[in-house]
Amino acid sequence: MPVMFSYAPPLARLIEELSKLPSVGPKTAQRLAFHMLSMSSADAEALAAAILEAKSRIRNCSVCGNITETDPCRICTSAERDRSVVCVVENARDVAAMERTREFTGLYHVLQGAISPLDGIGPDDLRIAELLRRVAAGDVREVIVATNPRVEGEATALYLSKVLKPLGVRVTRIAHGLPVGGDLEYADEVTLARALEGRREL
Amino acid sequence: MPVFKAEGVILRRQTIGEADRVLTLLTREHGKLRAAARGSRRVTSRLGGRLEPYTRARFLLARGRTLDVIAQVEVVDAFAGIRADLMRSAYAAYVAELADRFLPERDRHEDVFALVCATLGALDLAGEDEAELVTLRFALHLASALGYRPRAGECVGCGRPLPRGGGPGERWAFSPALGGALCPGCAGRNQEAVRTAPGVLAMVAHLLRAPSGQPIRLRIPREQRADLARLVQAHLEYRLEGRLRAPAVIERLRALPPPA
Ligand SMILES: [Zn+2]
Ligand SMILES: [Zn+2]
Repeated sequence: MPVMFSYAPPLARLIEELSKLPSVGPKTAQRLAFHMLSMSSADAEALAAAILEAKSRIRNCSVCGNITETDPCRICTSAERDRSVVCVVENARDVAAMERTREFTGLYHVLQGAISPLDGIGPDDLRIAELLRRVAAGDVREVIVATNPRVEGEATALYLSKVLKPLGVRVTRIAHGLPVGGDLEYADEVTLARALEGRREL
Repeated sequence: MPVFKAEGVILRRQTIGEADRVLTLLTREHGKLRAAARGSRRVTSRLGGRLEPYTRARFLLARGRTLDVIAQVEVVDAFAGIRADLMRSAYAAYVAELADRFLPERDRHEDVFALVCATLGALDLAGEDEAELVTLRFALHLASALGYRPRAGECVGCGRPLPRGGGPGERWAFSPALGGALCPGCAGRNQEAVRTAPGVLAMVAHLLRAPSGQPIRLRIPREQRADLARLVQAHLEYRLEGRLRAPAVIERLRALPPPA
């Protein structure tokens, strides 16, 4: 990116750091950097402090792997949650999505990824051993596998069912089907076939 | 924007930005190409489930400035059987990695496209052991199509044919650098060659002859199958000048479960 070299070194460095962020290309990085330069010193300091504080105080829960300020996290220590059901998700953003539904009252387990042979990611790169330990410890009666309905998430779900079932726990998979508010005629055939498979009694 | 049509198989899908995906397609008409699918990560997207890896489809693409953009997709075969099984899915990833890493972009290879389609079709129905053999057969046929066909039926050093009936007790070898078998006499001087039973080399020769898309009826003892997989992998990695990712994960998936 030759354009960077024409800027003063402190600005070039800021652009370079910003362009390491996901989905930020060199042009966006430049725009963000110039915006930051136009901020008041107080705002710039607040932003820098927020990054540092989040980085130093947020960690992964040692039980479920979700991001948290306290360890174990608020969900894992809550007296209101049903400790017999564990919902397995790929990442912490999925926990936030599930929590927004207010439907689920059990505990979570964040795998921090999914099995992807193409990327060289196998089961031992995920928090699967931790999940097996949790289940073997006793209280869990059902594991709900809520990995994404994609090749990687499906492979992970199949693997989990293979390793969890011998432990005598019930293993279920969230249903996949048509999005609410969607249109049947526009649904792709793969989703439609899945929706048909997962039909239920009315 | 000018548009063009292509029939292809999705080898790989990567996420960029919030909702965009970049797909690597192996097309019949234009070889391997990369194309963007805008907004397909949002669940309501019309392209949604049609863009899963290993799907064979007819695409309508719009020429883009940096990347072509997928406008329409009509599924030819979703190969649902692959996704429904852990090991089939893992071997399909191996097939996709090989095709992706061996083929340059926009280099038409209709024979390899046909090979990939036939292999995915066979994987769609395969049991675990057959899935592995189907994948190794693909690897050997891909190597052949690209000019790296290994010589497994006779010694590349002296031309001596493989002993009949597996030649019990004889220690043959396979040299990735020479791309073929070595008899015990010729293997002695070769440091990089992998020692193997003549029976394993006979299996390589058999898979090279076996037409793709047909079931493989081959009973192989466990340790010979592992040798066969390692040998084929070594042959391809030597040509690639790099390590393959999928076979290492497959090995870990076969060795379930991980220690709790
Ligand atoms: Zn927790
Ligand atoms: Zn020889």
